Amino acid sequence: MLLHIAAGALVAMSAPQDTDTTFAVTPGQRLNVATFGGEILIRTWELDQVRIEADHSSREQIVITQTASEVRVRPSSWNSDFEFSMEGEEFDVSMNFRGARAPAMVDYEIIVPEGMALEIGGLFSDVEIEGAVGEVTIRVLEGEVDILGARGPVSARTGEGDVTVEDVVGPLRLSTIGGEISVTNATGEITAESTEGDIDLEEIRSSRVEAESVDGEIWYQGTIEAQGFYRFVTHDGDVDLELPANASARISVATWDGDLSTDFDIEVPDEIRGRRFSFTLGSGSAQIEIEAFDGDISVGVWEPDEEDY
Amino acid sequence: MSDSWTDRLSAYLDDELSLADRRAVDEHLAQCEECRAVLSQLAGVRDWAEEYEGEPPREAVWNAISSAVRGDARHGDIVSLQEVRRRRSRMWRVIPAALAATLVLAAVGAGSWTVGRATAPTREILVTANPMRLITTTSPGRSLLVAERYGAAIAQMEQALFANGDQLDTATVRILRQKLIVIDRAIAEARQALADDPGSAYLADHFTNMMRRKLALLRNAASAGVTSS
Repeated sequence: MLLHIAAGALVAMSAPQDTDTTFAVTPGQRLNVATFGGEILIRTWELDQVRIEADHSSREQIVITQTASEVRVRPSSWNSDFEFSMEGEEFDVSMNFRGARAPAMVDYEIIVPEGMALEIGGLFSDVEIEGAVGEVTIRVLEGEVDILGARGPVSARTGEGDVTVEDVVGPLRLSTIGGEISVTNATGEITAESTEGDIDLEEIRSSRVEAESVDGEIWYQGTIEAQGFYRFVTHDGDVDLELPANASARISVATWDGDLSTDFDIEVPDEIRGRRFSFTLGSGSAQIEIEAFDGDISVGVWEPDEEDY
Repeated sequence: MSDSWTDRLSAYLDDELSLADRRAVDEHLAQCEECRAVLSQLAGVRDWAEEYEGEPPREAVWNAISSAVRGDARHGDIVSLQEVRRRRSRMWRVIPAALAATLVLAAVGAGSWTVGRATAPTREILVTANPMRLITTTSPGRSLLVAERYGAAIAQMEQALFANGDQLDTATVRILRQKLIVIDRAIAEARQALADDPGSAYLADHFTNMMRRKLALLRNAASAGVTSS
């Protein structure tokens, strides 16, 4: 049962066990889901309604609270002492368990209006989102993150787990401490950081890309826009770039214990160990920085299909 | 003078251009008085940076670092790395025009903390409360000074974190320790490489960058603040 009160008022609903409820929402409301553990799957539809299905133990209940700006979804074991913060740019999951019961595992399947903004957080949770158009923010301590077909700003951060993004349009801010980041068929600015894990960026159309790993390889296949900025840095791993044959960029490369190879017609010095080496493709309108301390650097040619442009 | 030329002057100065690019810059310099002036200014900055030995940070600097580590830096104290990166592309374009002022500010400019690295022609940018107070340098020695400051902040952060280790969630501790091993290994390798080639600006930058990554990881762990009490 859902009690829907006027703007600013709180509404609470509890279901006795496995939950399946659908209720109306208004434009501008965002969905805020936080959970201790379990899967969170979110899809979209054209209705101005949210449907929440949740699998949980019979002792657990799902509490849904609505205000004018937010639909807040929590397990009932997530009591008032169980705070969860998702603010800011950094990894800022915070919580404490002072409740009488241990936090429960809940699996969610949620359907939301296309444009609804999403704020999703979990400590031990896998998150999968498909077709979102509004802003998406995900913070997970440990778990996989999958985002498909999003159209809007996406910020996803996990402590331990892979981040996979496919068929998206919008700026992406992706981070994992231990895990791989994979982006396929994306348009928009990209920032990707991994401490231990590869970063694969495939079929990218962007004027700004920054990818950085400590222990992982980096692969970029995509366009180079005029006046664009691209930075690929790793400590232990190769950096492989595949650029259009007509790319126009000033490229700076540096490695300590690796080699540079390229399909482009440039003179590569025999020894670049420990120093930066720059060269220009075309008129050099974009800027590309590549660093692989202990890894090889390759700058190859990408021959995209017509529809990739 | 255009951006495409000023972009290359620092690399030209550091002998980091391909032969073809170097020839192109030579030809352009022969015709462009403005670029010759910028090149001269850059050379002055480089010379100054190489001679600059740094100075002990003031108490206020450590307070600012401590504040940043705690995550409660106010606007104007220390610019975030994200902000620095966002400004990066437009920041360097104003540098040639501000070089003279930069030199003056650098000479008196204690209280700076490196939070990011700029694109060419600068090697590093020290960002302070005043965004115009930029110190540019290609000096490995300067990078090491910055790294030392990171080192102090890291030590402080580690001490604070692990002194309260029993309050950290076990999952957080496990992830943190695993990744610290990765970063510490990278820092050790970067430090060794720099010892082997102390004149390398790239290695100095890389060493500093690894220190920055470690500090960011510790800060993230601290702000996670997962407790199970």
